[in-house]
Amino acid sequence: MKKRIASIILVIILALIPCLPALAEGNSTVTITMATDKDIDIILEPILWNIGDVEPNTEYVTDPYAKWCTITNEGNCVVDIRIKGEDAVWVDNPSAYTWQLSSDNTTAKRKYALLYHIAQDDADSYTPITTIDTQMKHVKKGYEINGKPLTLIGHDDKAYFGLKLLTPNPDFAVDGGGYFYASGGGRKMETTITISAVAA
Amino acid sequence: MKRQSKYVWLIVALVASLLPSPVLAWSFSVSPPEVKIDNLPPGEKAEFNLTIRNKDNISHTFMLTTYNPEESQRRPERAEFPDSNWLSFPHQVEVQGNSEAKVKVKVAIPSQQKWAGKDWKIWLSITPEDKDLLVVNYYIRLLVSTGEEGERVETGSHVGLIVGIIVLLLLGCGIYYFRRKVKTK
Repeated sequence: MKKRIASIILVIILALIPCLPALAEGNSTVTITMATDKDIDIILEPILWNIGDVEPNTEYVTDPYAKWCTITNEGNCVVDIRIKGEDAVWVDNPSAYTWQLSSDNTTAKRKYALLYHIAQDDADSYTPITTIDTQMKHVKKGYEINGKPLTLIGHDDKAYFGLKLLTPNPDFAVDGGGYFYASGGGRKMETTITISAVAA
Repeated sequence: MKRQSKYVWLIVALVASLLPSPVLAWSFSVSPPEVKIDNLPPGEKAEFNLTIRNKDNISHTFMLTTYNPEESQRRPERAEFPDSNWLSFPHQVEVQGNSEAKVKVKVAIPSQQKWAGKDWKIWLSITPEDKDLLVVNYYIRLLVSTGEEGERVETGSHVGLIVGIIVLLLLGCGIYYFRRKVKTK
């Protein structure tokens, strides 16, 4: 009797052998891969640009023009640098008075432009900063680096850039000049430029 | 408007510049820079942690969002992540000065088989809530690949069926054996 039972069990096991690969396939595991010893860490210095009073339709450039801001890679991975701008708003009432950020380097009434220049690129090369997050790219015609993304390779690598502001056309034009609308002696406008880092 | 003035001030955070600013430069880091999830079947979930380190002396709140990078930034074989709502994570995280916080991110793929065998990419954006003229933002690359179509579901039902058959057969053998034993006595 015992032999018969053992035979039945053996037959069952033998019958199930073809199913084993399927069982193994069924145990396909979800894998999560991440390098926890790597980090993204950049430092910008400075983070403020105090321009003061501005006139319509005028160009303002950071001082120094090319090495105004330092980006330092404090992390341990290679990062590409990206940039995005925003509309400028009146601090006291952001919805009441704004300057739209230009998508190129043109200005108009209530439309201003921001541009960046990467140090050691062509001297007069400025690239518009738009509301779309885009890679910062070198402009150095005739060199291999032209059109390549601004990349910080490894810890303590640095890059430098400067900014240019083109103020809007006047809200109210008068003989050969113009004015911005203001209330009570001027409006304080503010904007933000986001500098992003992403693993290359 | 009350009157026209010759100037408008485009003083970017003038107040912050006159007062001692708590933040002279952004100082925080995020780890890991890239997360790759493979073989995640439709209907299943995966979780991982991001670490945000606030290296400043004071507490900061960080904002987390998703971002679909432009096509040129995606690897050719990876498509745009279909729905950012499949990712769940806290959208604001406060991190005390000189400390770090773990942020749990969950990826849940709907159970429809049309989502099987796909390769997607999406970025997670982490930026401080406080703004100055220049603000730092980090993107974490999230690469998600789903398992092959129906694999998990079908094999899951096979396992149940096979185990059921084995149990039934063993039970049958056991009953048969004990009945025979009783009869022989």
